[in-house]
Amino acid sequence: MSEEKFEAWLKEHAADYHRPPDEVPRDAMWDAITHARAARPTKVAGHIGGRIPPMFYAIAASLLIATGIGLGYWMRGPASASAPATIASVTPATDSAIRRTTYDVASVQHLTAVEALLTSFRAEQRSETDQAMQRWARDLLAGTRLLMDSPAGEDPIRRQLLQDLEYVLAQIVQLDPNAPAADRAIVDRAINREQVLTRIRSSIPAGFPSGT
Amino acid sequence: MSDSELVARAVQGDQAAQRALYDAHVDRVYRLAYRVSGDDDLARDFTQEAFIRAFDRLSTFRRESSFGTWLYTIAMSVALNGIRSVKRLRTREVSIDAAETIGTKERIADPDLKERLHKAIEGLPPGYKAVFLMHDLEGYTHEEIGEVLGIQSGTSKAQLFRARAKLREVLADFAGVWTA
Repeated sequence: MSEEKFEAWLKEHAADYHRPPDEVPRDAMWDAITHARAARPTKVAGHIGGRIPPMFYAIAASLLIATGIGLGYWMRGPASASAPATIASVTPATDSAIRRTTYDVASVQHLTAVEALLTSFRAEQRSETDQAMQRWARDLLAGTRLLMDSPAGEDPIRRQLLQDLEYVLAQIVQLDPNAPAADRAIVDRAINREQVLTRIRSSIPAGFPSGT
Repeated sequence: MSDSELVARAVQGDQAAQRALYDAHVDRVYRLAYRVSGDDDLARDFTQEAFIRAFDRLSTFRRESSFGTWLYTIAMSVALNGIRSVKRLRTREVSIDAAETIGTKERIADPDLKERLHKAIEGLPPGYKAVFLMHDLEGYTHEEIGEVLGIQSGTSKAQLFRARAKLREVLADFAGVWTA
Protein backbone atom coordinates (compact mmCIF):
# COMPACT_ATOMS: atom_id res chain seq x y z
CA MET A 1 0.00 0.00 0.00
CA SER A 2 1.42 3.34 -0.90
CA GLU A 3 2.02 6.28 1.36
CA GLU A 4 0.30 8.54 -1.14
CA LYS A 5 -2.87 6.50 -1.09
CA PHE A 6 -3.03 6.62 2.69
CA GLU A 7 -2.39 10.38 2.77
CA ALA A 8 -5.09 11.02 0.20
CA TRP A 9 -7.52 8.77 2.06
CA LEU A 10 -6.62 10.40 5.37
CA LYS A 11 -7.15 13.95 4.10
CA GLU A 12 -10.49 13.04 2.64
CA HIS A 13 -11.83 11.20 5.68
CA ALA A 14 -10.26 13.34 8.38
CA ALA A 15 -11.86 16.44 6.88
CA ASP A 16 -14.97 15.71 8.93
CA TYR A 17 -13.04 15.79 12.18
CA HIS A 18 -14.31 18.84 14.11
CA ARG A 19 -15.54 20.26 10.83
CA PRO A 20 -16.47 23.90 11.42
CA PRO A 21 -19.92 25.04 10.33
CA ASP A 22 -20.05 26.84 6.99
CA GLU A 23 -21.54 29.90 8.61
CA VAL A 24 -19.15 31.70 10.96
CA PRO A 25 -21.07 33.67 13.62
CA ARG A 26 -19.19 36.84 12.78
CA ASP A 27 -21.58 39.47 14.07
CA ALA A 28 -22.39 37.67 17.31
CA MET A 29 -18.70 37.27 18.12
CA TRP A 30 -17.93 40.87 17.16
CA ASP A 31 -20.70 42.07 19.45
CA ALA A 32 -19.27 39.98 22.28
CA ILE A 33 -15.77 41.32 21.66
CA THR A 34 -16.82 44.96 21.60
CA HIS A 35 -19.06 44.46 24.62
CA ALA A 36 -16.30 42.76 26.57
CA ARG A 37 -13.72 45.39 25.69
CA ALA A 38 -16.08 48.22 26.56
CA ALA A 39 -16.88 46.59 29.89
CA ARG A 40 -13.24 46.24 30.84
CA PRO A 41 -12.54 47.77 34.25
CA THR A 42 -9.41 49.68 35.19
CA LYS A 43 -6.39 47.44 34.96
CA VAL A 44 -4.87 46.24 38.18
CA ALA A 45 -1.15 46.00 38.67
CA GLY A 46 0.23 42.72 39.89
CA HIS A 47 1.10 39.26 38.72
CA ILE A 48 0.77 35.92 40.34
CA GLY A 49 2.42 33.16 38.39
CA GLY A 50 2.55 29.42 38.39
CA ARG A 51 0.06 26.63 37.95
CA ILE A 52 -2.29 26.72 40.86
CA PRO A 53 -5.31 24.45 41.15
CA PRO A 54 -8.63 26.25 40.58
CA MET A 55 -9.90 25.28 44.04
CA PHE A 56 -6.97 27.19 45.53
CA TYR A 57 -8.14 30.30 43.71
CA ALA A 58 -11.58 29.92 45.26
CA ILE A 59 -10.14 29.67 48.76
CA ALA A 60 -7.59 32.40 48.13
CA ALA A 61 -10.24 34.64 46.61
CA SER A 62 -12.56 34.12 49.56
CA LEU A 63 -9.79 34.95 52.00
CA LEU A 64 -8.76 37.95 49.96
CA ILE A 65 -12.31 39.22 49.72
CA ALA A 66 -12.78 38.82 53.45
CA THR A 67 -9.46 40.57 54.08
CA GLY A 68 -10.33 43.32 51.64
CA ILE A 69 -13.70 43.93 53.18
CA GLY A 70 -12.22 43.82 56.67
CA LEU A 71 -9.54 46.25 55.61
CA GLY A 72 -12.14 48.48 54.06
CA TYR A 73 -14.19 48.62 57.25
CA TRP A 74 -11.05 49.11 59.33
CA MET A 75 -9.94 52.01 57.18
CA ARG A 76 -13.36 53.59 57.28
CA GLY A 77 -13.02 53.48 61.04
CA PRO A 78 -15.70 53.40 63.70
CA ALA A 79 -18.89 55.35 63.18
CA SER A 80 -18.21 57.40 66.29
CA ALA A 81 -16.47 60.77 66.20
CA SER A 82 -12.90 60.04 67.23
CA ALA A 83 -10.76 57.92 64.96
CA PRO A 84 -7.62 56.21 66.27
CA ALA A 85 -4.40 58.09 65.74
CA THR A 86 -2.98 55.41 63.42
CA ILE A 87 -5.84 55.83 61.00
CA ALA A 88 -5.78 59.59 61.23
CA SER A 89 -2.23 59.56 59.94
CA VAL A 90 -3.31 58.02 56.64
CA THR A 91 -4.25 60.66 54.13
CA PRO A 92 -7.69 60.31 52.52
CA ALA A 93 -6.19 59.94 49.03
CA THR A 94 -3.90 57.08 50.09
CA ASP A 95 -6.69 55.47 52.04
CA SER A 96 -8.96 55.52 49.03
CA ALA A 97 -6.28 54.25 46.64
CA ILE A 98 -5.33 51.35 48.91
CA ARG A 99 -8.94 50.37 49.38
CA ARG A 100 -9.65 50.54 45.67
CA THR A 101 -6.59 48.45 44.82
CA THR A 102 -7.43 45.91 47.50
CA TYR A 103 -10.94 45.45 46.19
CA ASP A 104 -9.73 45.39 42.58
CA VAL A 105 -7.26 42.61 43.37
CA ALA A 106 -9.90 40.71 45.33
CA SER A 107 -12.34 41.06 42.43
CA VAL A 108 -9.87 39.84 39.85
CA GLN A 109 -8.89 36.87 42.04
CA HIS A 110 -12.53 36.03 42.51
CA LEU A 111 -13.36 36.33 38.81
CA THR A 112 -10.42 34.07 37.98
CA ALA A 113 -11.82 31.41 40.30
CA VAL A 114 -15.31 31.77 38.83
CA GLU A 115 -13.89 31.46 35.32
CA ALA A 116 -12.21 28.20 36.34
CA LEU A 117 -15.45 26.87 37.80
CA LEU A 118 -17.60 27.78 34.81
CA THR A 119 -15.07 26.30 32.39
CA SER A 120 -15.05 23.11 34.47
CA PHE A 121 -18.83 23.05 34.53
CA ARG A 122 -19.10 23.39 30.77
CA ALA A 123 -16.41 20.82 30.17
CA GLU A 124 -18.04 18.29 32.47
CA GLN A 125 -19.44 15.48 30.34
CA ARG A 126 -21.41 13.63 32.98
CA SER A 127 -25.08 14.23 33.41
CA GLU A 128 -24.55 14.59 37.12
CA THR A 129 -22.96 17.58 38.72
CA ASP A 130 -20.52 16.32 41.25
CA GLN A 131 -20.74 17.50 44.81
CA ALA A 132 -17.27 19.00 44.89
CA MET A 133 -18.26 21.35 42.10
CA GLN A 134 -21.42 22.34 43.95
CA ARG A 135 -19.43 23.09 47.10
CA TRP A 136 -17.01 25.10 45.01
CA ALA A 137 -19.91 26.99 43.40
CA ARG A 138 -21.43 27.64 46.84
CA ASP A 139 -18.17 29.16 48.09
CA LEU A 140 -17.92 31.34 45.02
CA LEU A 141 -21.55 32.37 45.30
CA ALA A 142 -20.87 33.58 48.84
CA GLY A 143 -17.79 35.45 47.62
CA THR A 144 -19.79 37.00 44.78
CA ARG A 145 -22.41 38.29 47.21
CA LEU A 146 -19.75 39.65 49.53
CA LEU A 147 -18.16 41.52 46.65
CA MET A 148 -21.52 42.90 45.51
CA ASP A 149 -22.06 44.37 48.96
CA SER A 150 -18.53 45.74 49.17
CA PRO A 151 -17.07 48.81 47.45
CA ALA A 152 -16.04 46.48 44.61
CA GLY A 153 -19.70 46.39 43.67
CA GLU A 154 -19.91 50.16 43.31
CA ASP A 155 -18.56 50.04 39.78
CA PRO A 156 -21.74 49.62 37.69
CA ILE A 157 -20.17 47.37 35.05
CA ARG A 158 -18.57 45.10 37.62
CA ARG A 159 -21.77 45.05 39.62
CA GLN A 160 -23.72 43.93 36.56
CA LEU A 161 -21.21 41.15 35.97
CA LEU A 162 -21.37 40.07 39.62
CA GLN A 163 -25.17 40.01 39.45
CA ASP A 164 -25.06 37.80 36.36
CA LEU A 165 -22.52 35.55 38.05
CA GLU A 166 -24.69 35.32 41.14
CA TYR A 167 -27.56 34.14 38.93
CA VAL A 168 -25.46 31.52 37.15
CA LEU A 169 -23.72 30.29 40.31
CA ALA A 170 -27.04 30.02 42.14
CA GLN A 171 -28.33 27.81 39.31
CA ILE A 172 -25.29 25.53 39.60
CA VAL A 173 -25.65 25.32 43.39
CA GLN A 174 -29.32 24.44 43.06
CA LEU A 175 -28.78 21.87 40.34
CA ASP A 176 -30.02 18.52 41.55
CA PRO A 177 -27.23 15.90 41.61
CA ASN A 178 -29.41 13.70 39.43
CA ALA A 179 -30.53 16.48 37.16
CA PRO A 180 -30.98 15.47 33.54
CA ALA A 181 -28.76 16.89 30.82
CA ALA A 182 -31.56 19.28 29.88
CA ASP A 183 -31.24 21.04 33.24
CA ARG A 184 -27.53 21.45 32.78
CA ALA A 185 -28.25 22.84 29.33
CA ILE A 186 -30.33 25.59 30.93
CA VAL A 187 -27.32 26.69 32.97
CA ASP A 188 -25.16 26.42 29.87
CA ARG A 189 -27.54 28.67 28.01
CA ALA A 190 -27.46 31.19 30.85
CA ILE A 191 -23.67 31.24 30.66
CA ASN A 192 -23.83 31.77 26.92
CA ARG A 193 -26.67 34.27 26.94
CA GLU A 194 -24.97 36.55 29.43
CA GLN A 195 -21.58 35.96 27.78
CA VAL A 196 -20.18 35.69 31.27
CA LEU A 197 -16.98 33.87 30.35
CA THR A 198 -16.01 36.44 27.77
CA ARG A 199 -16.88 39.26 30.15
CA ILE A 200 -14.91 37.65 32.96
CA ARG A 201 -11.87 37.13 30.74
CA SER A 202 -11.97 40.70 29.58
CA SER A 203 -12.11 41.80 33.21
CA ILE A 204 -8.92 39.96 34.06
CA PRO A 205 -5.95 42.17 33.23
CA ALA A 206 -3.25 40.95 30.86
CA GLY A 207 -0.52 39.14 32.76
CA PHE A 208 -2.85 37.82 35.38
CA PRO A 209 -3.07 34.02 35.18
CA SER A 210 -6.31 32.76 33.72
CA GLY A 211 -8.55 30.52 35.76
CA THR A 212 -8.41 28.01 32.95
CA MET B 1 -6.41 48.79 2.41
CA SER B 2 -3.58 46.48 3.52
CA ASP B 3 -3.35 44.83 6.91
CA SER B 4 -0.39 47.10 7.77
CA GLU B 5 -2.44 50.22 7.14
CA LEU B 6 -5.38 48.80 9.05
CA VAL B 7 -3.13 47.88 11.97
CA ALA B 8 -1.71 51.42 12.05
CA ARG B 9 -5.23 52.83 12.24
CA ALA B 10 -6.47 50.21 14.67
CA VAL B 11 -3.64 51.04 17.08
CA GLN B 12 -5.01 54.59 17.17
CA GLY B 13 -8.36 53.18 18.25
CA ASP B 14 -10.06 53.29 14.84
CA GLN B 15 -13.04 50.95 15.30
CA ALA B 16 -13.64 50.59 11.57
CA ALA B 17 -10.06 49.43 11.07
CA GLN B 18 -10.42 46.94 13.91
CA ARG B 19 -13.60 45.60 12.37
CA ALA B 20 -11.90 45.34 8.97
CA LEU B 21 -9.04 43.34 10.50
CA TYR B 22 -11.59 41.18 12.28
CA ASP B 23 -13.55 40.56 9.09
CA ALA B 24 -10.40 39.68 7.20
CA HIS B 25 -9.25 37.04 9.68
CA VAL B 26 -12.14 35.86 11.79
CA ASP B 27 -13.07 32.94 9.56
CA ARG B 28 -9.63 31.36 9.76
CA VAL B 29 -9.37 31.99 13.50
CA TYR B 30 -12.79 30.50 14.15
CA ARG B 31 -12.07 27.49 11.92
CA LEU B 32 -8.82 26.85 13.78
CA ALA B 33 -10.53 27.20 17.14
CA TYR B 34 -13.29 24.86 16.02
CA ARG B 35 -10.85 22.29 14.69
CA VAL B 36 -9.07 22.30 18.04
CA SER B 37 -12.18 22.26 20.23
CA GLY B 38 -14.89 20.62 18.13
CA ASP B 39 -17.44 22.73 19.98
CA ASP B 40 -19.17 25.89 18.82
CA ASP B 41 -19.31 27.53 22.25
CA LEU B 42 -15.64 26.91 22.91
CA ALA B 43 -14.68 27.97 19.39
CA ARG B 44 -16.54 31.23 19.89
CA ASP B 45 -14.93 31.77 23.29
CA PHE B 46 -11.46 31.10 21.93
CA THR B 47 -12.01 33.30 18.88
CA GLN B 48 -13.31 36.18 20.96
CA GLU B 49 -10.50 35.82 23.46
CA ALA B 50 -7.91 35.79 20.65
CA PHE B 51 -9.22 39.02 19.13
CA ILE B 52 -9.56 40.72 22.51
CA ARG B 53 -5.94 39.86 23.31
CA ALA B 54 -4.77 40.85 19.84
CA PHE B 55 -6.46 44.26 19.95
CA ASP B 56 -5.18 44.84 23.47
CA ARG B 57 -1.63 44.10 22.41
CA LEU B 58 -1.75 45.63 18.95
CA SER B 59 0.74 48.31 19.93
CA THR B 60 3.29 45.58 20.68
CA PHE B 61 2.91 44.00 17.22
CA ARG B 62 6.36 44.48 15.68
CA ARG B 63 5.51 43.61 12.08
CA GLU B 64 8.25 40.98 11.98
CA SER B 65 5.58 38.64 10.65
CA SER B 66 2.27 39.35 8.97
CA PHE B 67 -0.63 40.45 11.13
CA GLY B 68 -2.42 37.22 10.23
CA THR B 69 0.42 35.02 11.42
CA TRP B 70 0.71 37.02 14.64
CA LEU B 71 -3.02 36.72 15.21
CA TYR B 72 -3.10 32.98 14.49
CA THR B 73 -0.26 32.53 16.96
CA ILE B 74 -2.39 34.15 19.65
CA ALA B 75 -5.43 32.16 18.55
CA MET B 76 -3.64 28.82 18.67
CA SER B 77 -2.16 29.65 22.05
CA VAL B 78 -5.61 30.54 23.41
CA ALA B 79 -7.24 27.48 21.87
CA LEU B 80 -4.58 24.95 22.86
CA ASN B 81 -4.33 26.26 26.42
CA GLY B 82 -8.10 26.41 26.68
CA ILE B 83 -8.69 22.91 25.38
CA ARG B 84 -5.90 21.56 27.60
CA SER B 85 -7.75 22.89 30.62
CA VAL B 86 -11.03 21.50 29.38
CA LYS B 87 -9.54 18.07 28.72
CA ARG B 88 -7.88 17.95 32.09
CA LEU B 89 -11.32 18.22 33.56
CA ARG B 90 -13.08 15.74 31.36
CA THR B 91 -13.65 12.36 32.87
CA ARG B 92 -13.73 10.46 29.66
CA GLU B 93 -10.71 11.01 27.51
CA VAL B 94 -9.99 8.59 24.72
CA SER B 95 -6.28 8.09 24.29
CA ILE B 96 -4.73 6.77 21.18
CA ASP B 97 -3.97 3.58 23.11
CA ALA B 98 -7.63 3.14 23.89
CA ALA B 99 -8.51 3.69 20.27
CA GLU B 100 -5.98 1.03 19.36
CA THR B 101 -7.47 -1.44 21.83
CA ILE B 102 -10.97 -0.84 20.57
CA GLY B 103 -9.82 -1.44 17.03
CA THR B 104 -8.05 -4.71 17.55
CA LYS B 105 -10.76 -6.22 19.71
CA GLU B 106 -13.83 -5.08 17.89
CA ARG B 107 -12.98 -4.98 14.22
CA ILE B 108 -16.25 -6.57 13.23
CA ALA B 109 -18.46 -5.27 16.00
CA ASP B 110 -17.22 -1.70 15.58
CA PRO B 111 -17.06 -1.05 11.87
CA ASP B 112 -17.42 2.68 12.18
CA LEU B 113 -14.17 3.69 10.63
CA LYS B 114 -14.90 7.38 10.81
CA GLU B 115 -15.40 7.19 14.55
CA ARG B 116 -12.19 5.20 14.90
CA LEU B 117 -10.33 7.76 12.83
CA HIS B 118 -11.68 10.65 14.87
CA LYS B 119 -10.74 8.95 18.13
CA ALA B 120 -7.29 8.28 16.77
CA ILE B 121 -6.86 11.96 15.85
CA GLU B 122 -8.16 12.89 19.29
CA GLY B 123 -5.50 10.69 20.84
CA LEU B 124 -2.56 12.20 18.96
CA PRO B 125 0.02 14.00 21.10
CA PRO B 126 -0.87 17.72 21.17
CA GLY B 127 2.07 18.86 19.03
CA TYR B 128 1.41 16.28 16.31
CA LYS B 129 -2.29 17.00 16.40
CA ALA B 130 -1.87 20.76 16.03
CA VAL B 131 0.37 20.32 12.99
CA PHE B 132 -1.95 17.69 11.49
CA LEU B 133 -5.05 19.87 11.93
CA MET B 134 -3.36 22.94 10.52
CA HIS B 135 -1.69 21.24 7.56
CA ASP B 136 -3.98 18.45 6.45
CA LEU B 137 -7.33 19.91 7.44
CA GLU B 138 -6.85 23.67 7.21
CA GLY B 139 -4.20 23.88 4.50
CA TYR B 140 -1.50 25.87 6.28
CA THR B 141 2.01 25.55 4.91
CA HIS B 142 4.82 24.21 7.07
CA GLU B 143 6.35 27.69 7.08
CA GLU B 144 3.12 29.19 8.41
CA ILE B 145 2.74 26.42 10.96
CA GLY B 146 6.33 26.95 12.08
CA GLU B 147 5.70 30.64 12.67
CA VAL B 148 2.37 30.13 14.40
CA LEU B 149 3.52 27.33 16.70
CA GLY B 150 7.02 28.72 17.20
CA ILE B 151 8.81 25.73 15.72
CA GLN B 152 11.06 25.18 12.69
CA SER B 153 9.28 24.29 9.47
CA GLY B 154 11.37 21.10 9.42
CA THR B 155 9.98 20.20 12.84
CA SER B 156 6.49 20.78 11.50
CA LYS B 157 7.18 18.37 8.64
CA ALA B 158 8.58 15.77 11.02
CA GLN B 159 5.60 16.07 13.35
CA LEU B 160 3.16 15.71 10.47
CA PHE B 161 5.01 12.61 9.29
CA ARG B 162 4.85 11.10 12.78
CA ALA B 163 1.19 12.05 13.19
CA ARG B 164 0.28 10.28 9.95
CA ALA B 165 2.41 7.28 10.91
CA LYS B 166 0.62 7.00 14.25
CA LEU B 167 -2.78 7.23 12.61
CA ARG B 168 -1.80 4.63 10.07
CA GLU B 169 -0.58 2.35 12.82
CA VAL B 170 -3.77 2.72 14.83
CA LEU B 171 -5.92 2.12 11.75
CA ALA B 172 -3.79 -0.71 10.42
CA ASP B 173 -6.62 -3.22 10.51
CA PHE B 174 -8.50 -1.01 8.07
CA ALA B 175 -5.63 -0.92 5.59
CA GLY B 176 -7.75 -2.56 2.92
CA VAL B 177 -9.98 0.48 2.83
CA TRP B 178 -7.37 2.83 1.44
CA THR B 179 -5.41 0.31 -0.61
CA ALA B 180 -8.53 -0.82 -2.46
